[in-house]
Amino acid sequence: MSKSPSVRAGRVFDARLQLLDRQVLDPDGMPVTAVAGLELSDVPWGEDLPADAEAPVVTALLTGPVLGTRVFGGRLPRRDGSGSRGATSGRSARPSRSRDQPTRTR
Amino acid sequence: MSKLFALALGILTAIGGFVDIGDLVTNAVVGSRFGLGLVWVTILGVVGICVYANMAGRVAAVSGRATFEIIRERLGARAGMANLVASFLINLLTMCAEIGGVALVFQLVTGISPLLWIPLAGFGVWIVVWRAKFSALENATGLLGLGLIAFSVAIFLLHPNWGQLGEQLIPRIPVTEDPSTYWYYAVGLFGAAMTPYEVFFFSSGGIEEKWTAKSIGTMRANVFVGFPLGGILSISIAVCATIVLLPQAIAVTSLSQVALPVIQAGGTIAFAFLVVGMAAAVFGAALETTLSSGYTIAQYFGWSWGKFRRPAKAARFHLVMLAGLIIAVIVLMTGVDPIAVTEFSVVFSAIALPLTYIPILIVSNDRGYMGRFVNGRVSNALGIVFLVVILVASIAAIPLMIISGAGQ
Repeated sequence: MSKSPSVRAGRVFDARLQLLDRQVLDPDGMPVTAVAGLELSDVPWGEDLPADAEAPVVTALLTGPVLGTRVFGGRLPRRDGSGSRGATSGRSARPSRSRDQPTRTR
Repeated sequence: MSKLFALALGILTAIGGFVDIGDLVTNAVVGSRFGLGLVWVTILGVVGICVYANMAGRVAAVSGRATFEIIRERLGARAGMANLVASFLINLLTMCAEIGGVALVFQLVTGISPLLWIPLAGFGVWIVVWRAKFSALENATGLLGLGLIAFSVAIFLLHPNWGQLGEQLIPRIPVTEDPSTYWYYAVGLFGAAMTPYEVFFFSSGGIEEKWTAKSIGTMRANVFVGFPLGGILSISIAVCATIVLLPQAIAVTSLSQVALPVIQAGGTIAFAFLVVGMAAAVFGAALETTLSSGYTIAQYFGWSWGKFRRPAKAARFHLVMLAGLIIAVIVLMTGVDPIAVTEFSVVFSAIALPLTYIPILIVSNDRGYMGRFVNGRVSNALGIVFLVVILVASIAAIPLMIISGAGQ
């Protein structure tokens, strides 16, 4: 646990509490949507992470139909062929790295 | 000086905006059937709304977050959605009652059936919600709503036997009424005083008016001075009904019985004040419930909302309100009795109270949102006492409705 860079940096971040269902603002401070789901990097499905694994990284904030899976359970239909994204499909707002201006949550 | 003016304006609009169709009808019905034996419930409800509006206002001022944004963050997507569906539907029922109430006021003046006024009332609400500035619509309806003071003045003009009135204040169930009916109306009166839309509207309105932590003082003055004075107007309605309607066993089936004591006491002039007051209060409440329907849904989904944005910049928020209005008008056009809709709306409001008030109590204790402005001991003690009352009222409402045959 202590090896994870995010923890070494001194701040534990509870994604469920501090990212999910938070308001997303556009660069002008206008509300856009609320975070309906998170896309994580390389998390094996249905098994525990090995103790020495790097902490997963949030690769996308999801919104749109993915909300339905959190309200009603189940998962969204897979897109044809591209099964790898599976349950996390939906409109996504990529975090700041890939953008000139950041998308903020509050 | 302008600060003082703003403070006075805020308090006056809080008084005039306190009463809505639920208060008008429920207080008159209760006064005509139970006398003053249920006044204690209105007092309890007014203290309760003060406690929780103060909390919700403080949360809005300090965190800049409105009620439903917080409900989703705290309860999560699923429980938040369940809360949203229930709150929205009950708010829609209240909206029907208020728009029906506007039609009833016009019926009172013109004698023309409410069915003809309902589409006009709906259109009027839409045009004002679409075009008017937030402060303009709040101040105009709040100030004109002060015409309801006619109820308080009428009490003195009717020269009641004060001793007898005083004795009536002791809570007791009349021999002609079933205990379940008494408690059914107690729940309704409590729901009318604490209606959840008041909190949605109050906290979202704080954000519309760009409150900050500095606004807390003004907000408190509005709540702790304005609401109790508004509550006195509410009680005056019951007192008027007790003096005039109760002895003659007149049942309240439309607003003309609600207005009767005022007409008897003060004639045409008092009636003129009363009509302006009732029209403004009920129309104002129709605006508030319509705005609340937009606030709740837009805040849950994180859409841009608010009258401080142009409709094009908050399109979905305005669309939700328009859709809500159309549904309300369609429901009313089926010919349901607006008075009956009002009576059900206050009881269902009582059922929904915990959905709104529990998240507010939780968040106003959360330092992550509130910093040093978290609840003090007094707020929490009162908050928990009222939470118990709210839960009891909410749980008892449906059984009481069934046992009493909805107050028959």
